[in-house]
Amino acid sequence: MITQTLGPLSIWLLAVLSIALYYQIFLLLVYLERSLSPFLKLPTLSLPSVTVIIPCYNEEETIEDCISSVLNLNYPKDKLHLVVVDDGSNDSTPKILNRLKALKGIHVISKENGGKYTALNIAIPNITTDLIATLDADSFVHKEALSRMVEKFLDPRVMAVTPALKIHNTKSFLGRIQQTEYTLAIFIRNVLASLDAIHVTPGPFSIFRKEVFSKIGLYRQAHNAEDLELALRMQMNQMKIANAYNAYVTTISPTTFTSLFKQRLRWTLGFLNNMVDYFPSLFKKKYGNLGMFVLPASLVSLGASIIMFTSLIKGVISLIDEQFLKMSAVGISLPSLALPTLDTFYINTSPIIFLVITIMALTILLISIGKRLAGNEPLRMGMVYFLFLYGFIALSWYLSAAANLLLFRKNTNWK
Amino acid sequence: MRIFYFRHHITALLIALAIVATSFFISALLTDNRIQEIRSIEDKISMDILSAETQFALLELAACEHLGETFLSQELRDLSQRLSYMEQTLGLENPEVVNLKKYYSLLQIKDYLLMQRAREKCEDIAPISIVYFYSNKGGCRDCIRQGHVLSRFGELHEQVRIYAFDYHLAFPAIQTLVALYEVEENLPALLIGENVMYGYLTLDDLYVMFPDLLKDLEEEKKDKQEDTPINELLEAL
Repeated sequence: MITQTLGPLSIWLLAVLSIALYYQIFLLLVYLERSLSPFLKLPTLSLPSVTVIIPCYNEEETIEDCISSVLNLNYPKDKLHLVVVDDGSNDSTPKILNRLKALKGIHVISKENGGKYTALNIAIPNITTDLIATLDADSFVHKEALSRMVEKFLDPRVMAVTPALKIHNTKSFLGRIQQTEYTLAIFIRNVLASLDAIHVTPGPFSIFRKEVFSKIGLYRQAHNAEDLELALRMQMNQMKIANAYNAYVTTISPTTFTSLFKQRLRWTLGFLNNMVDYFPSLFKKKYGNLGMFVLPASLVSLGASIIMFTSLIKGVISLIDEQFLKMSAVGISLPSLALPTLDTFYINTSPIIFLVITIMALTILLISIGKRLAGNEPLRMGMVYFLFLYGFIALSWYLSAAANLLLFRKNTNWK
Repeated sequence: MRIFYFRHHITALLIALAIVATSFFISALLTDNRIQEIRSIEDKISMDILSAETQFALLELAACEHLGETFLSQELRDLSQRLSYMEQTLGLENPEVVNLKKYYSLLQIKDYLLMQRAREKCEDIAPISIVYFYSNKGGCRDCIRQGHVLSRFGELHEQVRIYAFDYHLAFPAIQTLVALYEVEENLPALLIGENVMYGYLTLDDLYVMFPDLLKDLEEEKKDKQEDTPINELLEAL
C-alpha cells in the first residue's frame, strides 16, 4: 500500500524522515522535562586550581588573542596556570611565545611536530592542579566561561565539562551557516549532557579532573579525532561529562569551502573510524542512551543524510534534464507576461512534503532554543542558509568520508 | 547507574508515528480529491463525446458547421497534463492512476473514431488527428521529446488533435488499435492518417507533413504584427 502511494525511493526517504522526526521529538521532550524540573542549588566550594593547556601549530594569527582571553578570565590568578605547547611551528608562533612567556603564569613547551595529541600529552603528566583544561589556539574564552564550567564540578560525579561553542567570524556565507549549526549544537549538547551521552569533549575548550588521565590514560591519535575518542573512553569508563551551556567559547571557523570540507572530512572520518573501534559498545545497556540510542542514531543520521540529499540532488538533476529535453525539442519559450495562474491541483501533497515541513519547523524551534541558550545572538540569514543549503554542502564530506572509510582508508591531517 | 529515558523514547515514538500517520491521512485525502477531480473531468468529456456522437448521428440532417462546437482538444490536453502529474507523484504502477489512464485512453479512442467519421463527412472543418504511441518504460528519452513537440504543435494549432497512448498499458482497446495499424514497438511512433512513422519527429518534420498549418501560422504572425497598436493608430490616421 505504502509502496503504491510513494514509490520505492520514497520509502527510504520516509524512513529517514521518520527517524529524524523521532530524534528531534525525543531531544525536545528531554529538554522540556529538564527545564521544568526544579533547579538544584549546589553548595558553594572553594574554587579548584586549573591549568589551561594550549597546543599550537602555526597559529601566529590567533595565539596572542587566545592567550589574552585566558589571562582575562574572571578567575583567581593564583589558581589559574597556562601551559602553551608549540608543536614545532615554522611560522612566527615561537617568536610570539618567546615574547609572551615573560608574563607571569605562562609556561611554554617547545617540541618537534607530532600532532595535537602529542602536544597535549607532553604537558598533562606534569600538571598538578585539580583541573586540566584544553584550549585550541584558534579559540577564545569568554571571561566567565571558566567559572561557569567549574561550577559543574561541584557535582562529584562530573569528570569533565564541555562549553557552548560559538563561531567567531560570522559575516561570510559559510560563517552564517556554521553559526546556525553551532547554535543548534548548543541545544543538542545541552540535552546530550542530560542523557549522559556527550561523546565529544571539544578541542576549543574542555575541562577535566586531573584523575581522568591517570585513570584512563592520555590522549590517543584516534584517527585525528582525539577529542571524540577521549570522551568515548570516558563514557566507556562510566565517567560523567557535563555541559555548561552558558560558558561561551568562540572559535575561528573555516572561511572557504575547501578548508571547511577538510575540517568536516576529518571530523566525519574520525567519527566513523572511532565507531569502528568502539563498535562493541553499541547497543549495550550499560552505556545507557549513548550506546543504545545516541551513537546508533548518529550513524543512522549520517547514512540518512546521504540518502536524503542524494535523492534530492537526483531530483534536481532529473528536473534540469527534463527542462533540457524540452528545450532541445521546442526551444526556449519566453515566459508569458500574464500572471501565472495557481492551480491547486499541481501542489505537491505527498506525505514526504508534510514530514519535511514538520521537521523544518522543529529544527527552527530547536535552533531557537539553542539561540536563547547562546544569549540570543541574531542569526540573520544563517537560519535560511542552514535549512535549505547545509544538507547539500554537508553531503560532500559525508560521501567522501563514507568512500574513504569503505574504499581508500586514507588518513586526514589534524590541520 | 545510567538512565535510559524509556518513557521519553516511547512518547517520542508515539508522537512521531502520529505525525507520520496524519501526514498520510491528509495526503490521501487530498489525493482522493484530485482523483475525483480527474474522474469528473473524464465524465464530462464522456458526456461531451456522447453528445457529439448523437450530433454526428444527426449530421445527415444538420450542417457540418455544428460539428465545430464539439471539439474537446483543450479538455483532453488539460486532462492529459493532470494525469501525467498524477503519474509522477503517485507512480506509474499506482492502480488508481492506471484506471484513470485506461478510461482516458478509451475516451481518446472514442473521440478519435468520431473525428475519423467526421473527417469523412466534413473534411474542411474536421480536426487533424495525430495518434502518438509512447512508452514510460526503458527510459525512452525520444518519447519525452516527442511529447513536448506534439504539445507545442497542439498549442499552436487548435485544429490539431493529439491522442497519446501508452504503448505498454495493458488495455485491450489500445492493443486493438496497435494491432489494427500494425504499430511496432519502435517508439515513439506516430499514426497520421493511415501511415505509421517511427522515431523522433521535430516541429519542422511535422510542418513538412502539414504545410497548410505552417502557412496558417505565418499568416497569423503577420496579422499580429500588423495589429500592433502603432499600426492600428497609423491605420486610423
